[in-house]
Amino acid sequence: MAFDLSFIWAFVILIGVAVYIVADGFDLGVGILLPFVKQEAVKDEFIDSISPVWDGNETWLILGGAALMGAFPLAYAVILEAFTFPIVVMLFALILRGVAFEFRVHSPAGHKKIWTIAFVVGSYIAALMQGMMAGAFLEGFLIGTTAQGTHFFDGKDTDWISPFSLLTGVGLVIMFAVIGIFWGAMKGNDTLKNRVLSFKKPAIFALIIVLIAIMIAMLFSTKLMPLLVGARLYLVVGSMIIIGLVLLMLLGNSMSAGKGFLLTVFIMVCGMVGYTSLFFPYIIPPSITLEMAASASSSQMFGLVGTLIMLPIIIFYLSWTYFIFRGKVIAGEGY
Amino acid sequence: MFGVEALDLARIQFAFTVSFHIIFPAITIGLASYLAVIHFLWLKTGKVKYENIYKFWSKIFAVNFGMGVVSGVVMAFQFGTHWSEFSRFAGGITGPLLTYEVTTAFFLEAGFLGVMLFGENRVGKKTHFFATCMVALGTFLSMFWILSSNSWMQTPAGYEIIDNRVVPVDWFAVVFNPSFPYRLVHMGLAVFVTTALFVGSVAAWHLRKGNQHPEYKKMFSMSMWFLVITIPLQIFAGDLHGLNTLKHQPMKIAAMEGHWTNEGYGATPLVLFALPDSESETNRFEIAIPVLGSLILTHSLTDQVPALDEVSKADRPNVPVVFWAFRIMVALGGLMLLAALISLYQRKKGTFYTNKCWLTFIVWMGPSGLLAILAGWFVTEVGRQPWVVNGLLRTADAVSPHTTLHMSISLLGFILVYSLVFITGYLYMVRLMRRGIDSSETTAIDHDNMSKGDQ
Repeated sequence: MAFDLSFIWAFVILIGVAVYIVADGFDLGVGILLPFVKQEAVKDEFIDSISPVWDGNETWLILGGAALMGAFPLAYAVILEAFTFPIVVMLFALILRGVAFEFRVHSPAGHKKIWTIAFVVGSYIAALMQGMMAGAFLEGFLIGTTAQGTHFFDGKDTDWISPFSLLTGVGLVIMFAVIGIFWGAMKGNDTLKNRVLSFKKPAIFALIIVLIAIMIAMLFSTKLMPLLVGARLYLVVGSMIIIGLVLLMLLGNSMSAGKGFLLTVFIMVCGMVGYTSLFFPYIIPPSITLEMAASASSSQMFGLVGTLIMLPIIIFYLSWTYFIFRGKVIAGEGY
Repeated sequence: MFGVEALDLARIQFAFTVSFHIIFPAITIGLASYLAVIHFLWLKTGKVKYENIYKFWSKIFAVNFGMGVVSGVVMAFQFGTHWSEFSRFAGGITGPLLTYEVTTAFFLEAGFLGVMLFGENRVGKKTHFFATCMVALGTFLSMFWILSSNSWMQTPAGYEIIDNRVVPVDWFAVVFNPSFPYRLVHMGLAVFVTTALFVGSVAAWHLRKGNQHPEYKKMFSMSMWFLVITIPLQIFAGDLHGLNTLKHQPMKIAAMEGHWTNEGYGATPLVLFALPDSESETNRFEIAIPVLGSLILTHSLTDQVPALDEVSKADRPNVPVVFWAFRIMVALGGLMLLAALISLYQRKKGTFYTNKCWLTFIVWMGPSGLLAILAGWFVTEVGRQPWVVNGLLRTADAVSPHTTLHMSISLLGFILVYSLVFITGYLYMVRLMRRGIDSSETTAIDHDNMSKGDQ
């Protein structure tokens, strides 16, 4: 019973993280691309495109954290403790990004520029930290065991910094830029659309190069290379090949922005499949499984009932809000 | 030595971040309901006055909400980063409660806030009102779950301890634990009172300057009526909460009362003023009223209230902090009651909107609700020490084993970032409040059609 519930919870958390990466991914992508947009009005338009939805997008991150605490308290305790530094930095970055939405509009004229910079810097740092944590997570945690059999993080505060995690960090920044490009092309009027689309080719080429570098780094990593066996190998290589092919498709000129956006989402889903297969069924790689980190089945059951009832409702009304704000950004819309 | 220092830093950091954070939801919850009421009046009467009030406060709400969200995300992760032993021990109960908060409250607020703030021209009037109501509902549900979780840590129920961690056995008992109903009512009233004072003081500021617009009069009058009704209720609820605390956390009450010993005493006096001294375990410069403590807390003339010396020093909270925080809260409550009473007198005298002394008093009362909430939380949280989960897990055993250096850097980071971001944000909010109502934004021309042509 406990194992089945853990399995479902792992799936729910995975969905939460995947939705977060896609949804807040293009939000952060807007911040990453913003320095390359010159006119102030176009910058405003770009930020306006996410103003009504960014908060809902970010909530998926909190769902991931809360669900992890409830269903796998050991994993929540160990992973967050090990990642204290990058998490705190990411939170500061998200604070800067989050308040910048309101402060840009309501601050005295001279301050607007500062909050635009805060928005950009916050987006870059949040994306970089998330990508680095993703890489460091795969490389695993040093786990100790007490005499009572409790597991704890036995590594250093800086274990999360490695050449591999730097690569995945940069990779995620570029990935978010790519999805931000298609989002901007989809939501933006002509000036914004043409501007962001001019970055499509360089961004996709950069992404391909980073992905190849990540693959090579994995082959030379003593921590990651042994993982690439059996079904895992096929899933990782398979998803990489699909991602590569779709990226090449995206380079073509005839595609509509909406279709490009959906294909980028598809790439991110494939990436998640390949990524997850690298550590499943562990939740604290390389040694603690889902089952070992699970909370009591009474905890998992209580949380799951509510979550499974609420998720369809949440997806319904969030889709509805996206429907309301469909189409191009209307200049000056707001309150 | 090092362990203790890192613990202190973690505690300061938690107190700092949570104290900063609570300011925002305290206003968000009350303001969301206030906006829903104003929106209802706007929808029903079609009066420009209500539209103006709605648009004015929704801007301030948005700034406040944004700061509440980002500082709240910090809280969700801090349990793991800085209190990993607590998460491991109690995550099986606090985690699912937090998950319920996310799925029932956070998504609701976040999803409908966009429609509320940006959707006026994209949805019908009723849908727009519905969005405002959903945001208000979300803020209320959020308070429900977070107070349930906090109350469970104060008065744990419905659990067993298996393999050195809590395992829930009765979720109804967990959610509706003994102190939860009292805390929910007390905090619920507190956030509404806080908002009434906040709105009232902004209106008073403008009225005092001579802006006798109907909007400010409406805001001011509504706020003051609200205080008249809720302050007496709040005093009553606070008393009940105190009795509940006496039953479940007697040492917290003993600290609030500065009550060190029952030896050689009959009925417990009520200490009005004192400087509690934890070293000598006595109060210096004490001014006390005999028997009144027993009368208030046990409703008898002879029964004694439990005293601090009934437990060892290591099991007592920090008495001076709890003692003074409690007095600050009660004193602010007294001032609020005074404000409510004067408001009735001013109305009767006909100088309600014009008496400068009275208006100045309310302007200064603006932050009093927030200060009272902060003081109240200091009473309840410091009063719970040395336990993080009352009677089950000590705070000292709950902390992550980070080094002092690590904790110092992160504490410094939090102080810098929070001061910079949130104080700046508050200054922007004050700026919006001073600027006041901007009638040019109103859709005054046609109220029966969907609001077109604003901007």
